[in-house]
Amino acid sequence: MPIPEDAMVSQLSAILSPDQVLSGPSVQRAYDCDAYTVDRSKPTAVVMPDSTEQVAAVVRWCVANEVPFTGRGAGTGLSGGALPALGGVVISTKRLTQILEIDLENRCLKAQAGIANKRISDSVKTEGLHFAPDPSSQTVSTLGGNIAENAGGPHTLKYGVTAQHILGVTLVDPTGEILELGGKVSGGPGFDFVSLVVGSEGTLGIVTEAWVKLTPLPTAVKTALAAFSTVRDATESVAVIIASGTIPAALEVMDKGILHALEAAFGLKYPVGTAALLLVECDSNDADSAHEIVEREMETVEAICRANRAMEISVAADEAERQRLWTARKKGVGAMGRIAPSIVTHDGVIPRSKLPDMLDFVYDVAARHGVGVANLFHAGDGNLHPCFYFDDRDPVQVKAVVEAGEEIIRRCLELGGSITGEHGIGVEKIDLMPLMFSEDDLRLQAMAKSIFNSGELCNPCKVLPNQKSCVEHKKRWRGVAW
Amino acid sequence: MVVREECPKSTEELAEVVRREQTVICGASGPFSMPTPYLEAIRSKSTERLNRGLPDDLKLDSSEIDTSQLPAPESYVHIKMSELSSITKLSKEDLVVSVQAGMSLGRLQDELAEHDLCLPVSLQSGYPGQEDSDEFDAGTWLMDINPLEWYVNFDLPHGNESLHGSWRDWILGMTVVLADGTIAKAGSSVVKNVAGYDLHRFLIGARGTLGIVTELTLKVLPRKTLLPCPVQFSPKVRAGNGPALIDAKIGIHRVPRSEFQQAMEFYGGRALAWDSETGTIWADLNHDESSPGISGGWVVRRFCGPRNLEVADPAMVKLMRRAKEVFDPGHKLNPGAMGIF
Repeated sequence: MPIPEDAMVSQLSAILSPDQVLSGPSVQRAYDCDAYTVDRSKPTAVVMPDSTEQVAAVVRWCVANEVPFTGRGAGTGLSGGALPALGGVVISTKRLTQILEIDLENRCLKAQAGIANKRISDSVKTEGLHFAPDPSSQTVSTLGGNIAENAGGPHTLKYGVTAQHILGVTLVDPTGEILELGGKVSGGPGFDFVSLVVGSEGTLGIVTEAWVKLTPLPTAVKTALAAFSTVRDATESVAVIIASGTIPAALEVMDKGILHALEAAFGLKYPVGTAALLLVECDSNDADSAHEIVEREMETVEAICRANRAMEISVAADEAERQRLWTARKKGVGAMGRIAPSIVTHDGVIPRSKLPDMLDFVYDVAARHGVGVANLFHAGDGNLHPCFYFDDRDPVQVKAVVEAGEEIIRRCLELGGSITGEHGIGVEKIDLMPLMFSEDDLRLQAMAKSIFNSGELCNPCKVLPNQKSCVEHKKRWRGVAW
Repeated sequence: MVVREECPKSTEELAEVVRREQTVICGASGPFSMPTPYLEAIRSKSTERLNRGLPDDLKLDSSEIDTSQLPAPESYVHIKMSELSSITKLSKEDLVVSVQAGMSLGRLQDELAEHDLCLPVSLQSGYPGQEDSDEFDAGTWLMDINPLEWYVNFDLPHGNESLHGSWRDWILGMTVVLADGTIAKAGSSVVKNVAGYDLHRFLIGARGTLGIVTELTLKVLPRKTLLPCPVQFSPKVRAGNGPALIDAKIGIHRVPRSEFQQAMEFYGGRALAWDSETGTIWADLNHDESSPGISGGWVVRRFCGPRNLEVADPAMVKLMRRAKEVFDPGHKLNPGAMGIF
């Protein structure tokens, strides 16, 4: 029998303290989804532990009382990973924000999971180091959330996604046991459980602390923004740049839809006739010839862009100008908020050589479903982010957005790609997993999950499809919109 | 005792062997884990091969192959991967290659070089012919004889790791045969993917004890962007026979960078190659010899059974045992390779 809300709050308050337990309609509304707003499900209570031990105590209570629990960082996830699918308790890492140790000699840092991504980099910037994963949400998204979703960002083309930068984690497993996995030194013998936990979307437990790798900041950086009159010219440039043997640190494309939003929101102007912008950043920290390397790479990039009919190429002369060139990329999604009440950002991946045809397909799908779309994406990785803008109070629009998104994702798979490059499966793409993986592939994944989580309480209904109790509840999540 | 060798020509054939047999020693990881009697049979061959070209004082004695604590099943089959050695897909535009796991790293590098590509996972100074290479090529011998699955099963440290990352950073996906003969895929064939659990990373370094990797999809790098390898080699190695020395009695020891000098002092003249950036030392280390007890460090050794895995943390051992029970409850795959089961 489900435990009543009052009893739950009172018992959790006894484990923590009353000010660490939130409940009531406003709290339930605030925590019923993350930045993926299509599906919603209310928690009964939200707790804010301030130590690993408190997290473990809450998990043990949930297990003892058969209450589902879901970890949550800043709630910036874009696939519903922090949605409390079967209700229960949301365990927020909001109070786990401390840097615990900085080891400069070994270039690593230990922090609690609730710390914002950018704060890690800021804390070691004067030492010439940074935490390389840089999701667009990095000023607010948390280390724990980045780990759960294996977050990427514009610079993953060169520096890799979060998985490459996590050395070890403290994990409260689904039974409430505290496990230390990995550590300061990478690559140790034994099974690599850290690799399994990173990107597991909080289904294998709740990460409360982590050792992260610190990467030297580049000593030379050059950034350019090229304007093209067609999206095809921009995306074809991307494929040629990569095939030329130049691997920039970032290679990002923004289309006309984004530029219109930027103009409306911030008054930013771009050359008349621009259909797409290609942002390219080259960097190096080579001890002897960083500047020469970067100059050479940028010359190659410029030559390729010109050969692909770039209308204008601006190369930043200094840091201030570089920041200005990045504005379009960094403020693009935020600017979309001016266009419509809701945005769903999809996250398919294709081989980058297929980008030109794929973008044509995206526009076609949006037109057929009658939904607005703008594109801002990590072109160098072939990681698409079609942003559909709509009103989520209108079930017809929601349905069209979901169907258009699924059509795009199916196309990604037909081209040999993936259903998600950095946002995760969550609840958004759970039904698409069988399109990418066979039954045997999914069984392998279920085996991996069962090493840590053989129950149904720890962030249920995520990643793997057809979990017990989830199918009927799914109708309820979407009931808001359908 | 029944010992047989099988040389499957496809993943499906390999899966059939796994379904049929009770105990399977697979690929080049086998010699690390083979039960004693079978190891006896190959001992002389291995010793002869390993000692080829070595000075007398560094020749490997066959007794150094410690098998005392390895299980000895009634019968087993050794699956050789040599027939699984083709490139199945190569895209220069996308910088991705799919290759069967029995192909040697050296041959893959040769094939990639024809397209001005490479895999930055070698233990050598640059690559042969690179503009600023000093032409000293300590990795060639290793690269010539060892198949990809060997490197992947051991997640072996390499010379480009501080600049280009470990094996885990270059493997995008894999095909694996599970203990019941099921063929499954993990990961994807694009450079960015977070769909599902990262099984393709988890299985790297598992020494074939959770599944048999038969095909890999890897990111590759344009050769011109390969940075010079920072590994330094001892005068003894540079004087000649370096390649053979590197692979003879090798122990690979990784320590925190802050403890690197301490470890180097311990090994002295027995340090054959080292990379201070990753804190890695390739050293002449006997199978039964203790390494300096440096906190946080670890050692992987050649031919040394249980000493090849020093997992002290009981919680980690428990978790590993749980994983083994889930993936291979009958302990069919590469028994002994992990030392703890």
